[in-house]
Amino acid sequence: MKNPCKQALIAAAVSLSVAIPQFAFAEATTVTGAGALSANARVDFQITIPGVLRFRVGSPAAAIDMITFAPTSANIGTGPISGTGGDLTGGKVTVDVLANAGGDVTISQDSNGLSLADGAGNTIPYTTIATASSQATLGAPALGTAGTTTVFATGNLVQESAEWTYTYANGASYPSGIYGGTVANNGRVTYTASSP
Amino acid sequence: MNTLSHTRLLLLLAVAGSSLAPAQAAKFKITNAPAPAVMLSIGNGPQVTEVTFKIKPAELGNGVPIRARPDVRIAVANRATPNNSRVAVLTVDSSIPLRNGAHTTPFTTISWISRNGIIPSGRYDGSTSQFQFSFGNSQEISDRHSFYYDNANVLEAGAYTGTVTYTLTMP
Repeated sequence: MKNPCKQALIAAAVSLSVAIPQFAFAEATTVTGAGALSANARVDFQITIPGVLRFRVGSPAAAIDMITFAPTSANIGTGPISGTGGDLTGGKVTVDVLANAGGDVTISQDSNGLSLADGAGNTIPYTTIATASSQATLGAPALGTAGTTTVFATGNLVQESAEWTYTYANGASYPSGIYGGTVANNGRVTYTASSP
Repeated sequence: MNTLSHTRLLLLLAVAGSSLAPAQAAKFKITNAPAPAVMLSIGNGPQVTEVTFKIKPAELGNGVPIRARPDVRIAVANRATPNNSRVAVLTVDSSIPLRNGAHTTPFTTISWISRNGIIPSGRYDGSTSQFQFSFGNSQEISDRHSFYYDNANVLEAGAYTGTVTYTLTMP
């Protein structure tokens, strides 16, 4: 016959032995002993940064800005004139480039050799429109040429902002009309940013 | 002793022997003074828990904190006698930045929210021994932390990994 008292004592001993809980599903450390005690446990962290290439010229999102030059009859062919329009107005646009996948970013445009047309056989070459950048580190490719610009990476990271201001040279007289303004009249320039 | 008395005594002994069990006794002694101990448990799996932040390209660097998965359970316990005679302190070492090849980002970009407020909400300070909380013996305490990455800057693409080490001490 089992002694109930003995059984009770065994049960009590067992319950005392598990007074410090053990966690089977975690990194757990239990330290016992006299004097100062110290236990360690770790957590690993991982941040996954996606590779991105962001490029903005002008208004954000899908909006396309129109830059307009409108010399008056009094100043036709008399020298550079500023434009109007652009997200910053005054013929000025915001330009942002961000790339984090490594390497430099090259900016090109598709107006090489093209001219704005009036639909009546007259044209004004894109080379008459200059682009000035507010930041030397984010230059603008020259319109009407095959020129490109490079935005250099720092530590595999490119993150630059600038303002590009367009100016019409207005050094010659052209037949009256509206040049460009539509895709059909070569009025749109598309910039492309690329990184390796 | 006369014959009658002797007979009565024998009868009495015989009755007693037939109706009573042998005398028994139980001694109880509970020695509740086990060795002092501290226990620290962090995470949800059998190994070191990995807390992961995943950022969508459109969200990168927009300043909206990114919540990690999973949340992490932190459990601590200490034992010593007499009760409330010693204090245990939980600290964390976040001094080694997360690394992605040659690129690093400090743990100061990671904060946490406490579910129960027992082990308080906070942010890693990048030190070797950042105080978390303290408690007297003998207690078992647990809380759950949700971690957030600041996402305030654009870093070089890739996976940044690092480890923080929690230490529970009872001087």
